[in-house]
Amino acid sequence: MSTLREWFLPDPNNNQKAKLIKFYSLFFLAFTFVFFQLFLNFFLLTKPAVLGYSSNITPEKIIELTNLERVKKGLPALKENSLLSEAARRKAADMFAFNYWAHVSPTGRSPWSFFVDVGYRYQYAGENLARDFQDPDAVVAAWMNSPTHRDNIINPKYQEIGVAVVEGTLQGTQTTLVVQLFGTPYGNSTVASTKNSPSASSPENLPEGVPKPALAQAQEGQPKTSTQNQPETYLQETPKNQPLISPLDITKGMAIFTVGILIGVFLVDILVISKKHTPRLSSKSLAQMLFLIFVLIASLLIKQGAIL
Amino acid sequence: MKEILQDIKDYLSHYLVLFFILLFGGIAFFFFQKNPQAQIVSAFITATFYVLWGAVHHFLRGDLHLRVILEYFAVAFFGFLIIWSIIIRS
Repeated sequence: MSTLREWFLPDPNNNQKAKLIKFYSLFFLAFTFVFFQLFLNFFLLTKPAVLGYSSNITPEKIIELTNLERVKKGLPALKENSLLSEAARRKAADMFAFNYWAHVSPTGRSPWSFFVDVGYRYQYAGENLARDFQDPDAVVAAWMNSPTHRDNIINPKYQEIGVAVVEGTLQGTQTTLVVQLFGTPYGNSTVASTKNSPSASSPENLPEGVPKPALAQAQEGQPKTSTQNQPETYLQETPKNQPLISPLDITKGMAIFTVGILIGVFLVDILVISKKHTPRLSSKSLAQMLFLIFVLIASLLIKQGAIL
Repeated sequence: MKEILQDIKDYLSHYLVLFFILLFGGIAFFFFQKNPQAQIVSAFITATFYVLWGAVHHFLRGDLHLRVILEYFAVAFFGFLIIWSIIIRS
């Protein structure tokens, strides 16, 4: 019991500082954390069915949820178009091949070129991107919370949709990419009417920050069918099985638990040392606690998934 | 508790600097929510300034010691490692 006390409370046996917050224990904790992460990586490779990134996002579910949002706004559901789905797959493949997370590739390739490549002649087109989400509801919810992405989802000008969900390694991280493409075929002038017609008059509706492409107007004549810069199709569609445990959840849970305990020990240290008026040569527990609170808040701020 | 308050009063400017280091670190972290690499850099800079703050604070108090610096460094290292681990998993 007294040994346990030495780890958490300052007393004469531990030189008036809990062993847990001595520098050697903190270094030990840090290196244990590193080894735990390495173990997680190893486990990810050997037991992907148990520990892995969730892969229960399917294109069908994304389309279903997107249409649900449209129906809520009194808009007609979008029809799945296999050409758009193929364009979305190619866009995802291009992102992995050229290692970028953007609407326009580093080589200057716009989203619209993928429409053209698959032979989809469009009157209106749009693109939403997402990565690293665990479930389809979170993806669509994140898009709906972003005004520019929401505008794409509830745009009455769109009639068709194509979605690709692809796994791969992007910028050194294992990633699940969701590419959602919207389109209205060229020559199809039936545009749904709505009470909430968006103010954007541009035929293509990109989220903000993306330069309007040159293909902003409907194209006359046959579209190009160039396949230059096409990456090899080495990517795999996301499997349907869902891993039992997410490495992010484990890491986050472990981090919050450890930091929480350390904050508690520092707080007790402040109270006990202050009460006993113990003189000692040590770092300021108040400062240490404040820094750990910063770490805790930062850890809680990190959310899974990003949209573009 | 009185002792802590007195310490804060005596070194108010030091604690204000610490407060602003952590505040700016937090704001930068929040601001770069869509840019994980910038978040890692923000956390690294905050941790570095935190250790520097500890060194300067104890130097000015006259009780700077290697063990004290190691304690600040250990907490900063551990904290940064945690943030970095979560970011690369997210």
